[in-house]
Amino acid sequence: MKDRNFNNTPDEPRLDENDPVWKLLAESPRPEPDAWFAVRTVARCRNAGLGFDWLAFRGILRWSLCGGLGICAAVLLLSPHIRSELKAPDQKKNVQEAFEIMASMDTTSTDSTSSSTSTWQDSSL
Amino acid sequence: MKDEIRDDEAKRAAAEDSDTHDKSLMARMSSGDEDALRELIEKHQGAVYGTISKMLGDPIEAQDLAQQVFVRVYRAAGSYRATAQFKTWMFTIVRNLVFNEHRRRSRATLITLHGPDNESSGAPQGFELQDHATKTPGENALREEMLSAIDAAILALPEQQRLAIVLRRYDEFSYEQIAGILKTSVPATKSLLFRARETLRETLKSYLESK
Repeated sequence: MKDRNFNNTPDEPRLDENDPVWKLLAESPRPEPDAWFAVRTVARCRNAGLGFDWLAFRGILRWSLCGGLGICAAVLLLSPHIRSELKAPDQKKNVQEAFEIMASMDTTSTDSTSSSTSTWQDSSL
Repeated sequence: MKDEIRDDEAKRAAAEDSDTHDKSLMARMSSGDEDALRELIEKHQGAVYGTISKMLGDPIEAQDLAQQVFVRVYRAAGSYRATAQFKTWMFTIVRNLVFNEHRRRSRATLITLHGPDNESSGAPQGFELQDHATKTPGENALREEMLSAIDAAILALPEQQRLAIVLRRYDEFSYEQIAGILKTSVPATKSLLFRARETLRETLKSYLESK
């Protein structure tokens, strides 16, 4: 019984109607507004006017605040990464310079001891 | 079975037509058409007022809140985007106002100025005539007592369950629509309705047995 009620799908509203609780609830009808309700409501709407839609404004404000906070969070999260990216070329440059110095030192040393190098090369063969 | 399927299809088609009509009324209202506003109010006043009245159990407060719903609908007409069904959108406003009212009431201790008469017990009003000719005074009294018990049982439910049961029973909303209004999933809505029904079954046991 319980499972049957719980598994009602939207396409099977008739199962609700078989439930005694459902039938009992139908005994107490929904109250209806009085005959002048519509007239009074139209007058109240007229007084309120179309005016400025605070609800829509509140929605826009909320989304823009959330968007702003999101952008700030993204910037904060990405800033260390960007900073390291910016630093990286300097380091590369330093390494390159070090290699160049080493290379130049190597060439000067090979110039001065060219004979010994050739001897070493010969012996290795 | 085929007749039932055909009935469902016919109902769905009628609901779609009604929704299209509501959206066209909203478009007219955004340009200041008062006739469109009146038509929209006359079309939905029963559902909006009835739901709020069942939720609060106070017809005077219900009338004020129902008017507030239509004022909000009117003011939002210009910025209204037809992304969901109009009725679902409007009942989301009903839900917000009713739940706010509950919160306000739970903060403040209210002393009612009108006694527990017919009006405040949520009994039918207006020109509805009771069938006194075919029923004895005793039967009428028993019926009145049963109606009060049903309303009291609905009012004793937690607010989410109460709204779910009122929307499903009296306004014939689908599970999807109720889930949209309550901002929950369809299984959660089914669970709410199941729990509400079980609570009502327990509370109204004596009336169910006598039926």
